[in-house]
Amino acid sequence: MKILMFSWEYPPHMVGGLGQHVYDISRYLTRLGVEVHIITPRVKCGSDYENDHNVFIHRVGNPVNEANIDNFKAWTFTFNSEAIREAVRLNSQVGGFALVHAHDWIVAYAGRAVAKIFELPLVTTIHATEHGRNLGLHNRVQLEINEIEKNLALEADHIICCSQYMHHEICSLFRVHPDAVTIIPNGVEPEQFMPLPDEPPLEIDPGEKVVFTLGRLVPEKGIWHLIACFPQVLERIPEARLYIGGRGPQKAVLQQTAYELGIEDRVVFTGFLRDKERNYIYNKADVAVFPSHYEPFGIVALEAMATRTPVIVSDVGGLGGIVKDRQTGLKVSAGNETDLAQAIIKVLTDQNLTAQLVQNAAGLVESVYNWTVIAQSTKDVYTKVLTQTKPKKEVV
Amino acid sequence: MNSNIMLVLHSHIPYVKRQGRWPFGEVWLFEAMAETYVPFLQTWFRLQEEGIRAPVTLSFSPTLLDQLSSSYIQQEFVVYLREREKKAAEDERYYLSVGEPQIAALSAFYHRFYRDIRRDFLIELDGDIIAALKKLQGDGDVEIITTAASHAYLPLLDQSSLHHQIYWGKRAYETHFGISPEGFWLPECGYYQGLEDLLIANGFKYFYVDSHAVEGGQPLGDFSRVSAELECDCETFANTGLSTYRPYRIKGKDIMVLGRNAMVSQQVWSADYGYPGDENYREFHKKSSRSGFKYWKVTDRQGSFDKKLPYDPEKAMLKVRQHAQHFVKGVENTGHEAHKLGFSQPIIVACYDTELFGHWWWEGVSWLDEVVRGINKSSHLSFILPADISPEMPEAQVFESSWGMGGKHYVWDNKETTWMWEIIKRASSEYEEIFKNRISGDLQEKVLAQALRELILLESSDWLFMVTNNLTRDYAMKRFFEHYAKFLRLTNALRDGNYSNDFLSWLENVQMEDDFLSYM
Repeated sequence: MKILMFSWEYPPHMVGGLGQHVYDISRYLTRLGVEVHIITPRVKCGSDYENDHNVFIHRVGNPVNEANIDNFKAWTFTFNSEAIREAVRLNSQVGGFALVHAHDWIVAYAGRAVAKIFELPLVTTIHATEHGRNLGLHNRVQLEINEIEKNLALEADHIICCSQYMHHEICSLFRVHPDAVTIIPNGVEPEQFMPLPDEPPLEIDPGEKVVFTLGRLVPEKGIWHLIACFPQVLERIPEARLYIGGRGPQKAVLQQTAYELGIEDRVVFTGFLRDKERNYIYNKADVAVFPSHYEPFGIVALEAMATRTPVIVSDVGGLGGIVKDRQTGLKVSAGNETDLAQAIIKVLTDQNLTAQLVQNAAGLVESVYNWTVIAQSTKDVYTKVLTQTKPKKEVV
Repeated sequence: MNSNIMLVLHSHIPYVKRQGRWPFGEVWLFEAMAETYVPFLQTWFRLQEEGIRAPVTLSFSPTLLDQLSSSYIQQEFVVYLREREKKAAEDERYYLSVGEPQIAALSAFYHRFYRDIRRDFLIELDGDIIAALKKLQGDGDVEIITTAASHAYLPLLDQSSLHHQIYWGKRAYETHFGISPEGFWLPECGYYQGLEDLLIANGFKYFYVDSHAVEGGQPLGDFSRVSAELECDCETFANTGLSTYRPYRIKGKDIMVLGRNAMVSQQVWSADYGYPGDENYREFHKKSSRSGFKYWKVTDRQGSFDKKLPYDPEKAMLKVRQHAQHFVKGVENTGHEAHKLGFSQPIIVACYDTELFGHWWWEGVSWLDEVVRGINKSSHLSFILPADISPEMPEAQVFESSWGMGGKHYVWDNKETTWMWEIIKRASSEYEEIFKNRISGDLQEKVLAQALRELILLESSDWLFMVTNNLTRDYAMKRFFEHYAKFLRLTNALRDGNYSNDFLSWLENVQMEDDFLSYM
């Protein structure tokens, strides 16, 4: 089975969790005998063609550099046109794909057009929605993106999403039939969290209690709650220190908040973390906290579990589904800063509880969020779609 | 003191055949046929029977002509009309049952309307709108002209695509009417200096531009429906001292240019003071959620939907007569002004989209009917067709321009559409490259012809317009990307020389799906 994927993120181009997901799912699909070709944007200093663990990577269009794209929409549509061009060339080169798999709205038009003209089934994974990301639709661009997502969902032969929460969101937002959507969770590879950097990226005092969070610095991640509740934590545990990994538009606002609370010396903004740097901090972390308002899946919680770090999450979206309160982590309601502070204090002081949480969480990661299982479920969706889809074009 | 009015109606629907039915696609064409083309033809035939002359210049786009002549469209149109009749009958029963007799009466009104259109179409017109047009042209009552093949916005195309658009505009006309066209409607009045060379090379004798292209000054910008979120600079054109009251020959070239009289056109088009906004006319935007029928009158243009009152066809007809008289009076006055300026035989060129009448402005065809009668009665006005214009005329150069917002290219070329032009230009030069390599062989020529069809369809100004206006944007983008993808698959095969069985059966499908200019 030869399949064609479109994704606007693929390593080394990583913005959110999408790049990691596509990297993992494609690699594991090849182990199940699926030939995977991925069309993705060019990156500076990267090669246009690459065989990455038996996955064929084809890079086209202008290199992505979000900071320099002054008209992101125009860039996106131009990329779609280049992706179509490459797909047409590839399709005859490989002797015909069996199926097109498009990840998220950015590649919607390429996915739809290529599926249409090659009369192939279209599978799409909807990782998040614009409505969810922005807690509503507030301007022309957001409405347009919502429209693109909706039309992609309606035109696809089958939709994959990562959680019960997303399943509900997709069905209600786009009025898709529940049977057209399959839930396949994301996964983690514990091995990816082992390698440590040769040089520590930052000094962490051995006497510190390390509270760690990681993610794009955008409102939906709710990081300001973590900063706002931190004085309460410090009152009980003065040696606690908050490490915030990731970059994003909210950085200055968050720094200002820490400054205004007078805790700027207890809050460290690490900036973007490479994998090994991230592993280093997890290695030192006493607790990982994800206080998001919107989280379609919450891969970060699984990553923390894989590193045997106890997790505290807000009870939203996929996050709330992954963590079972007091069994595999602690849950607080989103935005409740007092509860959040109490939960952090609890984990940092109750060693028996912590040990139990870590143990249970590791077991969960191994049995459920395992890429081999996930790839098999994905392949099952392909097989189902291929056997069910009638020839798409019936010209009158 | 006589003045001449040249009524020009430009008709266009993109190629929607087999590209979706409802809510986007073929239904656009069927609505225009039912609400505009068929009533228009019936009105003109009736005027003819009464001995009233109504010479009008009609532009029909090749995408429209090809669709109107297709037996598939003719059959599906009847299916559509039957569906509407059925829906109207259901609505009538429903509104009676919920105690809304006024609305129910309007359902009955629509039921009769669609039944009559079906009868007119099948019996009077024999299902063939083009044959009816041909007959009117043969009788000298209309002069039919053509436009760019897929209604591309010409000023931004490269030379080879310009050639295809104009050449196939001419060929489509010849195929459907059996004679060569003399006039060319520039889509959206889009013009740049030098465009006339290709028109001349294809045998065209005249074309139209907007007022400011001739006279200069501030463009009136009829198409001010563009989203307020976009920023458009409105250019002021230098005053030239030229006038739209007379035709000109383009400087040093053998082709006539006619300038649209913006004031006269505006009287009908304007959202603020145009006739269609009158409180008694049928409201276009409010529809029954049950059936899509429009049962309400404008009431108050600024008012909310729930404040709209039921439509009253008889009251609306009274308004039609008043507005027609007002219009004729206005044209007479405009003529007097022109005489005062020293024009002994002024021409007042009034250009509109045909679909404004009937489709957008429900009462519009009746209004045209009354205007024709009024002008025939007027001792100061007579209709004129391009063919009646005496060849003696001064020379002039006109400005690069369009009738869109800002007076130039903005509506089709802005930050929302730049990427589309990049794709169009790339595809066009790739086609040219392949064409130059002298393809031979029947199959190759078939593939090449289909690639050209896809290129031409890709270039439709409709996609750009919809993206700019953020209206049915997804449909436009989908069509744009699909035509591009088809184009790439075809040209890729031509380069590779690899024609698999898959490809061949797909080719057959695409030739049927996008069978525009099938005589290519």
